[in-house]
Amino acid sequence: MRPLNKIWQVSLFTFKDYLYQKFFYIILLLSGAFFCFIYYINIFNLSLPEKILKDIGFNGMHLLCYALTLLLGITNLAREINSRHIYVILSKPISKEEYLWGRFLGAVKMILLTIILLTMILTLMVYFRTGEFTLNIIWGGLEIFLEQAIILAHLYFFSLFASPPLNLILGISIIILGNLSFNYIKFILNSSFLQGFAFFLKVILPDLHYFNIQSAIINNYFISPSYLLITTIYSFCYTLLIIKLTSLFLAHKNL
Amino acid sequence: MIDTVIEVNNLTKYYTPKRKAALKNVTFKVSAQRVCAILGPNGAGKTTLIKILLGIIPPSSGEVKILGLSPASREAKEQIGFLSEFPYYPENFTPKELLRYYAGLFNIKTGDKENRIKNVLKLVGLEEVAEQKLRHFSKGMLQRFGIAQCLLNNPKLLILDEPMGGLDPQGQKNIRDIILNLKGEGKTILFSSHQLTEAEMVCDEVVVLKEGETIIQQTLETLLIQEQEKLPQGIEMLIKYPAKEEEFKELLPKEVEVMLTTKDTFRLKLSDYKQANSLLGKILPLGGRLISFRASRITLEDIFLEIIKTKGKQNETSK
Repeated sequence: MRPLNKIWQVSLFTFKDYLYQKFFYIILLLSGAFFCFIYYINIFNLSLPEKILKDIGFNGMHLLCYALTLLLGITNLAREINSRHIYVILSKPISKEEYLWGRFLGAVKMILLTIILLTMILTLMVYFRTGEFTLNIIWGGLEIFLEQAIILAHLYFFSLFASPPLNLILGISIIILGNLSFNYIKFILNSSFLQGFAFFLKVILPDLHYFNIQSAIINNYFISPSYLLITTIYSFCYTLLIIKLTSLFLAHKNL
Repeated sequence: MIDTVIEVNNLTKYYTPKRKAALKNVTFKVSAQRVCAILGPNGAGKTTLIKILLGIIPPSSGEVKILGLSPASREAKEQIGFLSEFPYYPENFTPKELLRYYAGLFNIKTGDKENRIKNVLKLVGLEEVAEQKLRHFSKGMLQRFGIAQCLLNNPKLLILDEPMGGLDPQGQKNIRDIILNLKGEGKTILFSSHQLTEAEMVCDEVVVLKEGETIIQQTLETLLIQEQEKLPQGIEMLIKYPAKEEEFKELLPKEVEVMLTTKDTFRLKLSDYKQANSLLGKILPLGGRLISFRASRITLEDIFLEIIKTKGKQNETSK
């Protein structure tokens, strides 16, 4: 129980630390302004208002979550290392792995809280606009969360050897490559060498487009529980693997 | 009770194999209830040594034991309190909130936690600002908070990295008093410092590092006695003499150093009493007045500077 208790302590502290910072409230404020804007735009649009509301609302939520994940991922460990606060913590009876998991889970909690709030707002907006309650938006929120956990784990891994600006570039690359399909890569890259390299990256990097269920949300398609279960397991395993790899590197890193 | 709290044998650390060693065969011991100062110029390897003692980075070779345990072990860390050099503490938290977090990492029981937090804050004189955010704290207050967090687990060993660095004289005195109190309580303390005068007031033992090597490990007392014979004893005199500086200097033997001149008053540094007698014999009949006279004591700073200078020359010769 001891290691779990320590991970819990660090994650709780990390989460509180984020709650004390202004950027979280700025993101919430921006989200509120964005949702209000599309809600009122929708009133004047007579063609398929529900679809447009869901489409723009869901995309907006997705983009805000990417921004939050990138911000948390590139600053979380780097700030602790640069400020030397990490030495104060690691001088106490806690291993580097427990510390890493704690920091990671603290950031995950923050992302989860944001997604819950944004999903609630979007669900309520759709309900007030159409009078229907749809579970698909909640499943969409879950998929966004699973995707962000994988991206966050990668950003933690990169932050061990990349500066924050480089980490940002690497993070954006993961998001873009992860969301592209093989056929699209083939279509946009002419050189066979570049195609081969992109395919190689695609094999080792996560397939983020599995988490994109936007069309099912917009068109009210049925989302099967088995699909949700498979994507959950995929995200869980991938995240676990990357964080384990990060902890191995951290254990041997000369801080 | 374990007599030797810190034991370092042939410790070597390379950050990358091709680069120069940050530490080369460092060997020393610190006994229980002693205060040991790690001294050395910038880049000597003090912080690297401290990181290894805390188990934050592994050594390339050699052995380190803290209370007979590996420094990376939980059991060893439970007995250590650490103050980092120029530490940053998350500034949106209050001292109480942060101390609760640190106490959680030591698995201190909930009932005991609040009492300990109260006690350490009282010890460093921060109990009245316990609910204020750390962003409102001065550097000296942050350093005292740093001491409070490292006392939370009632450690047997305190490792302090530059505890007086960047503080004003009052701040340095506060930290010095806290260290002296802890020394009185029988804690073993290891600290690195650039403030040699302050270090001299609190330490029992000295380890001097230069370019990653141990140059000296001795008790302060032995070192002072030993070096007193090697280094010249100085005498400082303040003399009032009604003449211009050039005229006054003509009266002085070449070896006498004029440290400070203000109008007709001169501060002089002489090597011994004999020289002082002969100079006073010349100056007093000509209308000069002796304002003050004191024998300058050899300090840790004199010894340190001499050692660093000698070692530097030796290195140049060997190259």
